[in-house]
Amino acid sequence: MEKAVLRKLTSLCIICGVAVLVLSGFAAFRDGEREWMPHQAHYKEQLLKKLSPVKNPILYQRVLRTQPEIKQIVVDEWGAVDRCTTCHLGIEDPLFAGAAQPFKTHPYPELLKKHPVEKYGCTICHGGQGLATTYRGAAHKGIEHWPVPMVAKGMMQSRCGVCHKDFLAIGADRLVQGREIFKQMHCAGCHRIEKVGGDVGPELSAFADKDPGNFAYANVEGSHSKQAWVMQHFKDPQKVTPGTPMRPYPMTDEQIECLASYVLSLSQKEMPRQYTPKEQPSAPSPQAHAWTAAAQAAPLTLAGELSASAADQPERSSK
Amino acid sequence: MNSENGAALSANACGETLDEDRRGFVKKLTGTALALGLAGAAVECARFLKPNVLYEPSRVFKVGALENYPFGSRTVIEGRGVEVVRERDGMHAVSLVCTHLGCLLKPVDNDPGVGYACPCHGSTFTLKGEVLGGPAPKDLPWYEMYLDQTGALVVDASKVNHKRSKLPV
Ligand code: FES
Repeated sequence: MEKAVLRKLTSLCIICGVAVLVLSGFAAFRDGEREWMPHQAHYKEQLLKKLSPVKNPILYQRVLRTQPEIKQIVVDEWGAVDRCTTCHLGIEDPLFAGAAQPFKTHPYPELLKKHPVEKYGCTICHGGQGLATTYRGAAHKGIEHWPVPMVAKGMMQSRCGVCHKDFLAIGADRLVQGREIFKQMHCAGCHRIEKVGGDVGPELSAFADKDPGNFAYANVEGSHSKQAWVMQHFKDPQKVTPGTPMRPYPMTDEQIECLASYVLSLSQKEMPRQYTPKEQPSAPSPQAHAWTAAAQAAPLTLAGELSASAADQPERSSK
Repeated sequence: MNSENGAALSANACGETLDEDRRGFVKKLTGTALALGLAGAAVECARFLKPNVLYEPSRVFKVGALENYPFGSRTVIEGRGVEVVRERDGMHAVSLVCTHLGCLLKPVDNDPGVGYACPCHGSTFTLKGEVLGGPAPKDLPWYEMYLDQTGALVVDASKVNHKRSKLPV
């Protein structure tokens, strides 16, 4: 009897020991096989080829000695922690302009100059999951349980508009067009933005701040993100939100993108103080004049928005 | 193994010693499996305690183009506790964190002998970061610096420049 118990205990010990051994072996193996590691090795190889050991020996030696590591940008004031540069290593480096992804230089270096990666990271503009270090996890394509996939190319300006409210000043043509469409389609008849507009539909002043988790995705195709919801809702409101009084409007895909970008840029978030413009130029640029005139000529203007900014003017210029 | 077992069962005489052998083998096997398993688990636990990355700004940061640093300039890098100094014979980045209790040092520029003074308990340092007086026990560390391929100056505050070698630029 005792012998049998002893035997059982012995085999239990062996099984447990072997199981723990196998599991820790597996853990060690997985830890050494991260998706980003080959990228870094590859980048190092490419970079060393482009650098000269004679011209800048300090840099060359440094690169030679680099070990694989997770790169991270912490943007405290925005609450963003981005690890995108773990793979996108050449994002600010003109030497990699012709390289293949993930090392390719950012296509708009002028934009990056104004928004240094080290200061702003990536997800503030591009969306996606900054903490992830895998292609899938970073939400390059939509993934489940992460409601903010990377912003599609055609809608990139929606992110510019969250901070930059003067669309003309930053040359955001799509946002300008989206705002124009909003007017032409008389959207304000039902939707209120900044105290102007009807009450039939939901207010849109803070559409960008709405929790993507509160949208109904039952009839949305593809990824369950706010972007997808808005696009499909504009295409066919009845399908995405059955029973809505909103009817489909004749718009091209590009127009829908512009309108969606505009709506997705409507945010009421308080920007950190350093990002709000200190003073408004006292004389608006001729472009802005044209815009104001056009807006006044339009039948349904966002008068509130305009008068609000007009009311701001004396206050700002007095400073 | 099976045939041996069969032999052991048939031959009662040597059964005892064979049993001893088996018991010894099983004991060893159990011991090794347990020891290796525990060692592996311990290693993985230790590995777990050393994170790959911390929630803090990177200790390696760009400080701008070389042109922004004329000869003889001393530039405090806001928020990083580092001063970048450029002299004729090169550049260096010196920590502005007092080695006494960690207050932020004030650069002094009206006294040629003193480079930095601590507002907390009055330690003073030379421009090179050596202690001149006060309670500070150690010299200020220099950090490694380099020019990257885009022409930007980079300070690596995670690596102390023990040799105090200047970046020749
Ligand atoms: S902390 Fe600087 S002297 Fe005490």
